[in-house]
This record gives sequence, structure tokens and C-alpha cells, in this order.
Amino acid sequence: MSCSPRDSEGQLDYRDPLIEENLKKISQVILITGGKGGVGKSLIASTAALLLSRSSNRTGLLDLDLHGPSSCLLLGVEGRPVESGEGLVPPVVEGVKVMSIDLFSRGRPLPLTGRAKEEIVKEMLALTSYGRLDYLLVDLPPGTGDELLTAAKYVKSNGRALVVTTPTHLAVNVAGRLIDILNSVSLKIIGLVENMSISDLQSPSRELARAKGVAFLGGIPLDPLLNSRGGSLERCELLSTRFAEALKQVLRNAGLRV
Amino acid sequence: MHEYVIARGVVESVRNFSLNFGCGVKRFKVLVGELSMLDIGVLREALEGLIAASEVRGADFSIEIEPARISCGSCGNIISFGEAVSHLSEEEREMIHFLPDLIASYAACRRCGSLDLRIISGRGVSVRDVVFTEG
Repeated sequence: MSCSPRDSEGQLDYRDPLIEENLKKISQVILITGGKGGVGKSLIASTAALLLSRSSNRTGLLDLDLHGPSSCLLLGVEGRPVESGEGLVPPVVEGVKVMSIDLFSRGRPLPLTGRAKEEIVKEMLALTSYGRLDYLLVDLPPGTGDELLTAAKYVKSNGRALVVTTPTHLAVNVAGRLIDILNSVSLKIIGLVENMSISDLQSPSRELARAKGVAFLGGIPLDPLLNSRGGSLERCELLSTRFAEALKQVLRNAGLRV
Repeated sequence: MHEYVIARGVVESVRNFSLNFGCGVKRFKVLVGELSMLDIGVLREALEGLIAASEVRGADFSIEIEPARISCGSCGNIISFGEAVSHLSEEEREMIHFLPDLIASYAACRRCGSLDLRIISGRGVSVRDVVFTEG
């Protein structure tokens, strides 16, 4: 009896069981997303990874911002993935296991189409051997396309999304659409955080959270130091900013062990 | 070792497929994209060992290389595997070995110089033509 596999192209995807096996070893996967660009998703993801690791959590960071990866720059990652029988073991910075396309593209341009991005997301999920983790943070790019949808498909059992906005109607508008998409694919939402916050009480993000039935985790005040030296701060400097202090409270509000 | 990890995924996906249908596997085909630059000997050996130790033991398999074809999104030029990787160092080839779609980061269209390269065929690994045992 001959039988064709049932995917759209009549083939089995060898990455599916590898992804399942890898994700089973991770207690919580948190997708850092927001829809709009420039709201601070990458800085929040990288800083949160450092904070979680410093609190003795086994932590990984997966940078899926495939056109503009920044986690290696933000965290000062210099190592390379190492091949093992279990997959590619990511370099470690302050206890955080960091995987990024930049470890492979090495600063080169990344002109990737939708299909290519879907393939790369699957390969990074399948081939990265994080081992056992308490938290895997996934830094997603602006938009609600391939990276978000492909990652969301695989992390439904242990994944949740943290939605990042700023106090602008543009960012909040996009975040509202994002929340609708996350709900439609049954990905749980851990809550909404307002970055570059001006007033915690008169926040359009808080209004959005209320309207969508999502927890509002708090605001992170605009930190002038990050504006002037955003990508060039040392890790210890980053962790001593007002930004990091406020983020720690947001993570606690979200129930994370930090 | 990359070949071994891929072989694990291949055997596990065939096993899951077999369990879903409740019958044994007689044979299947592994299509290997040229751009993945896998060592076929190592892949074959890994597959043989893993199959023998799995619930699909006894299954036969064949490995077929799928030639790479890459099109330029700007001028429509078609680029072969050899044209795409001939100028690359061993280290650069290794990056494409792990993530074939990074060909667009490391190569350019030979006719117009565009980096907008799109893989038509010969990307990665897939499992096809699974044949179940009778009865």
C-alpha cells in the first residue's frame, strides 16, 4: 500500500519531530511581539533574558528578527554555535543561550522572502539544542507575518505572547490587530506592556488591554540613557538602568520568576 | 553531526507517520537538496543505524539528490548550485549547509548583481513516497 504524506506538498517534514522534542525540554516559551517596529521588543527580550538568567533561571533567547537581528549586538555575543549529536549548541552570555541568524549571516544583508523565512524559523527551532530551559524568550520582528505565525504554530502547548506597545495610537492600533491574530491561532497572551511610557494612568495601551481582555502588566518609563546609548551599553550598565528596573517589575507582574 | 540530527528527524517523522496509520513501513525516499551540502555517506549510515533501532526497522530507503535552482528576483536569471557557491569559502559554505536560504546573504546574481535570490528547488531535506507493508 502506498500512501502520500498529508502536507501541502505531499512530503513529511523531518523538522517537526525535532522541534517537538526540543520544545518539550522547555518549561515556558515567551514570544516577545508587538506588531509595530521601534517599540523596543528586542531590548525588552534581551534585557528580560539577562534578568531571568541572573535570577537562576535556565534561560535561552531565540532571535527571530530575521531581517534585523540585534540580540548579538545588544548582548555582546561573540561565540558561535557548536555542532553536537543533539543539534547546534548556542553560545552562552551571562548564562543566556543565544541563537540568532546573525551567528550564520555574520552581518551580511538578509534579503529573505516569505518562504525562506518560514524555512529558517523551522530550521532554527529544529536544529538548536538548548537542552532543558525554564524560559525561552523569542524576539520577533515587527509585523504579523511568517516569523510570528510559524513560531506560534509550534509553541501552543508551552508558549505565551508578551505584547509590547508604546503610548502612541499607531503602536496601539497595530497591537490591537496583533492580539486578534494571537487569539485566532489560540496562542495565550501573558499580557501587554507599554514601553516608553509617559503616564501609567492615561495610557492608550491600558485602554487597549481592557478592551481586548488582556492583562496590563505596566509601563516602562522612557529612559534617556537608552535613547542616547541604546545599542552600545555594556550588559552590567544595561541591567542598572531604570528601564531594566521597570522591566523587572513587569516580568514579576507577568508571574515570571525574577 | 548535522547529518545525524537530520537523520533522527527523518526516522522519527516516518515512525510517527507509520504509527498514525497503524501499519509498518516498507520503504521511503529521502530527497536531499543540493544546497544543504550534506555528506550522503554519513547521512545514509546514520539512517541505517537509526532505522535498525526503531519501530520502522526493516524499512528500506533511497536517497535522491535534488539539484539546486535559484532564480534572481530582479532579472529572472536562473543560477545553478555550482554558480552560486563556486566563489564561497569552506566556512561560508558551512553556513549555507545549516541554513540553505542564506544563499541570498552569501551569493549574488551573476548577471545583474542583485541579492534578491530565491530558491526554486534543492533547498533542504524532505521525506517522500512512503510505502506501507501489506496486511
